[in-house]
Amino acid sequence: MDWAFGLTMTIMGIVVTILTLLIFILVIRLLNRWFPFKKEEETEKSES
Amino acid sequence: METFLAALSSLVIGFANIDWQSVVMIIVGAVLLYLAIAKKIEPVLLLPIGFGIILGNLPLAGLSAHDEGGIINLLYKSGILTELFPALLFIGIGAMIDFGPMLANPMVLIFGAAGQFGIFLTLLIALGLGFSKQAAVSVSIIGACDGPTAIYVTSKFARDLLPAVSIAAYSYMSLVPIIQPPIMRALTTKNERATLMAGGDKKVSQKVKILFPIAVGIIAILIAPMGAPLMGMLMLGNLLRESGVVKRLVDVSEGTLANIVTLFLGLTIGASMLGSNFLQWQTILIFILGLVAISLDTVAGVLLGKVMRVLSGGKINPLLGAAGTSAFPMSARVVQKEGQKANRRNFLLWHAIGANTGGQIGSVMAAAVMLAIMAGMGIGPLP
Repeated sequence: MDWAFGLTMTIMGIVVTILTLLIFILVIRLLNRWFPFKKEEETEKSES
Repeated sequence: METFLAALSSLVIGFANIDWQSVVMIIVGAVLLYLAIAKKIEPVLLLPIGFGIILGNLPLAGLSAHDEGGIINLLYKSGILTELFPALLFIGIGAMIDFGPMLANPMVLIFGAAGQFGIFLTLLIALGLGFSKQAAVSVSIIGACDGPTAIYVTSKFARDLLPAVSIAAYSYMSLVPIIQPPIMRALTTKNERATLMAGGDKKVSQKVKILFPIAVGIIAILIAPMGAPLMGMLMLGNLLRESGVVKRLVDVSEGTLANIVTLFLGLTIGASMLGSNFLQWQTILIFILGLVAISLDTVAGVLLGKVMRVLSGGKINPLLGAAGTSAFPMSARVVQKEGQKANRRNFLLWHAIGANTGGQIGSVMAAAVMLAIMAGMGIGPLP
């Protein structure tokens, strides 16, 4: 078995996947802060 | 008389050329047709796959995916070898998914990461069992619980395993309601499963819903460009949906396009399942490893859920972790059902859908990361 390949893939794969999703969480939080939900949007939606 | 015999032999030439492997594969195809039609298990996919297997294994018909010049060979070359079909399917998936619950509660995205741990742990097991690097990556991706992603990765690295991997991936997706509950119950107490969660009515601005696919598409592709076709098409489909200005394109993407691609994909995968490359011990091993991968995804998700429950002071139900797989919306429904069994006042569906859509992004990201690391190690895709 190629341990170097397996361990590199496993550790890097898990770490990079988690880090990327953490970046996405940060992006979503920023977007939610910059563009908070407004009650008017709901009214507009129900009217359309 | 000779002419008569020659004509007669041409009519029985098919029977004369059939071998035992083809007969077994035709029976396999018939079983899939039975499951699709009588049991209604993933019929949209299993029906074309089942009939594809039968067509592909009939001797001299020229309908296997490997029969040069045949119509199914044309679909195989243009849709599978180019990775076009899985990528197109992702436009439809993106157009179908509402990321709203996840955007309202972004922390659930972390479950989408835990739901992919099984991929990487199974990779180690597959390597230990003697699979080559490329084959191990292809087998472990069944843990993504995501058919198109599994097909995309396997068609890059181990095309001979494509039939087994794709059948395993789609079968286990539909078996999630059977696979996950025992693991969820074994790893949690009734008290933990009964945890009520608040905040199920949070809403997000439409601007956020529009900007999310654009931002995530750019970041994900910059981090792992090898997975660009998957993430790019997923986010394109979602942008079409959330933009609100291209209803016709959304209808086509989530309807006609997704249906046509699913039909061709199923037929082609089925027709690539020849006895010689499917009737092997390796196929059984692939199915076992796929089950291990999905089970480990669930274990990792629920264990992370338990940690999050402690860290949040008992505000997060650990069952939510099981929804971090990409089996959408099956995993979310399982979480809702198990949560309600423990506490009838429990309504976890909204949160679970958020984690489940996070799992969709997580699985694509995990595959893209794998491809990027492989490329970094100098292991490129097949020509």
